[in-house]
Amino acid sequence: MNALGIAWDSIWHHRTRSFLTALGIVIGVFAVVTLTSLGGAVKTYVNSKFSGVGANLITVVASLPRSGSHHGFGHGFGHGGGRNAFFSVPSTLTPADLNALLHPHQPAIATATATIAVPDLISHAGSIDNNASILGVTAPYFGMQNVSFEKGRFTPTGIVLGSSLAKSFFGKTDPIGKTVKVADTAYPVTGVLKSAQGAPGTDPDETAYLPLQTAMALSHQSTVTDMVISAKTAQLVPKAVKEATAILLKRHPSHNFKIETAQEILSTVTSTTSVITDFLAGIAGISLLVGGIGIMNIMLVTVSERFREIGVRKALGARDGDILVQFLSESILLAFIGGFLGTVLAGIATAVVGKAVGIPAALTTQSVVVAVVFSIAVGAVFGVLPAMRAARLMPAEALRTD
Amino acid sequence: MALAESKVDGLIDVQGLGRRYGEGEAAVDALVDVNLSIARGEMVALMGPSGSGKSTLMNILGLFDRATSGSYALAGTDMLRLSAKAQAEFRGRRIAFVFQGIHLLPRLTALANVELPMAYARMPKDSRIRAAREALALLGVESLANRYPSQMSGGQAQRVAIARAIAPGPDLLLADEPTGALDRKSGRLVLQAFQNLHDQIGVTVVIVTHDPLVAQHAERLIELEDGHVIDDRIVRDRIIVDDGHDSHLGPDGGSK
Repeated sequence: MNALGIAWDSIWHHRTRSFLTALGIVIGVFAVVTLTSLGGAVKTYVNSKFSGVGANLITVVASLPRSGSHHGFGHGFGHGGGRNAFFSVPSTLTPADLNALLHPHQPAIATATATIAVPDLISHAGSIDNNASILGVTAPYFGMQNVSFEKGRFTPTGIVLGSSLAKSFFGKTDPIGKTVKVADTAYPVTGVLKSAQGAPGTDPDETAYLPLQTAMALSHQSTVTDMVISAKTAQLVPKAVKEATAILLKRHPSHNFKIETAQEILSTVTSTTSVITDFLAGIAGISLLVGGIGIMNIMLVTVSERFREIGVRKALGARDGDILVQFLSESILLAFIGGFLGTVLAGIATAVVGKAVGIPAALTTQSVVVAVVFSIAVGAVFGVLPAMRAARLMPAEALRTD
Repeated sequence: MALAESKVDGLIDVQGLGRRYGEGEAAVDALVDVNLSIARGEMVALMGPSGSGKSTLMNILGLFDRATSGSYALAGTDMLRLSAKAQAEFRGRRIAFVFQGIHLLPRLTALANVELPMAYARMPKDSRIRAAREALALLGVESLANRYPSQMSGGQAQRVAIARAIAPGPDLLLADEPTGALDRKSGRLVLQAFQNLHDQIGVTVVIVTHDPLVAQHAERLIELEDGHVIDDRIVRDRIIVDDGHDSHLGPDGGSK
């Protein structure tokens, strides 16, 4: 007999009930697939961000002295604006440290820069751009961050604008030579950047760049927020870390700084994302389990409703195996339909959420395969008990129930 | 027991058969020391009031239930020694059933219903369609082949059910109150169908009933009461005799 045909016939005959039964699986698969796909998308996005910035970058941030048990948890990514994520560690890094790193006898270090976040607003002709951030940098910064100039250049006196910022202040007018105001001081615009993707947490398009010394004076700071070192090649990163550590230890014997490589940050972020994704998918998996129990419940009802049919079929020569396959097919098909609908919904949700958040997100093949296999498995596992009950029914017993 | 002497071509041979339900003081004997032999090609009515044990006997003959004592041989094979699985296989190949309620599967057409037992027997599609059409034709309902049970009268449905029972070519056709759910006119049509079948293809028919009308169509009447066979006799020649097909009866055809 065509077991799938019978199964479909029965599911179709009880459309409303089948739909409600499958709904548990729909929701479960939807949740699992959406979460794993979005998790995967975030991971890919973060990865691409980091690889765009360059794998040879090393960041130095302030930390509590080594003697303490603190290993300050990830200091934002790149330039978080003077906030040391969980502990407010005052920076002790100074331009003098930067100069020491730039000393020419370091074979692995190509160049270095320091940055400072300026907590002021930027305005032009009285209009303030609230989204903009202001960063004090040195000249090598732009090359290291892989951002290039649309026009003009970075000078020791002017200000450089990110592309969106320039557009919001000046529209189509050429901003070069015009001025913008930061904390009541006017700065001439000397350069505009090309639109670029920065490291996670930064948006070069919405940033204005002042010379480091100017920015420090403006914010009354004698220290910088962090320093970024670029190794000559990605392979030389460990050696550059060693050199930088040696130089800085001489200047900071209490080891009150922390050196992070882009790769370390990347792997921390990636593994954190994975753990969160897996954890959420696990929770969503519980709803699949509940959906499976729903299927088992309805299949048990179906079996007792169809006592007579089972009896007739057995009296007509159906073997236990035939009946088992028939009911198992029904529960598997039901779960599969649920899994399919859930996957389709997850595809829509992933695309919508991805668009809203601004990351390229799509269903991953892996999550679809997992969802389909999992829903079939749920149908099989939770269909076994009802199907066995149906198969073991004695025909006489089955026919007696009228 | 007028007909207890064994036939040359015995299909069913039951000796000292008993069926006891429960144990100890609560035990109930549904059948006690039943001796019975039915030859190939006979048309037998099994009668008795409710509780007489006729349904129990039918279930044992149909291998739906197991006797607790005695012996039951079907076509020379000792049924009580077979495993449940072997019994199921035997039942599938050799025995066909017509039930009281009209047990056509509602979502299959008449043709698909008739095909079903042959499908379970793993018969190839084209030969089972051929056999199904032949069986429907034999019962005079070939025009209903593509209709669903809800589109048929009770009598038509029961004839489709009989076609389904005989299509695979069983040795034994067991019918449990086949007219029970039908009005008198449809009942007569169905009984006529049984009789034609018996006359034309010589299938052995055992009908369990308390409908006296059925008795008019049977050749032999076995009556049960309280689990005992109280009467077993050949009844007068049937009302309707189709001379043209008498030669198709089994070797015992002349024993009427």
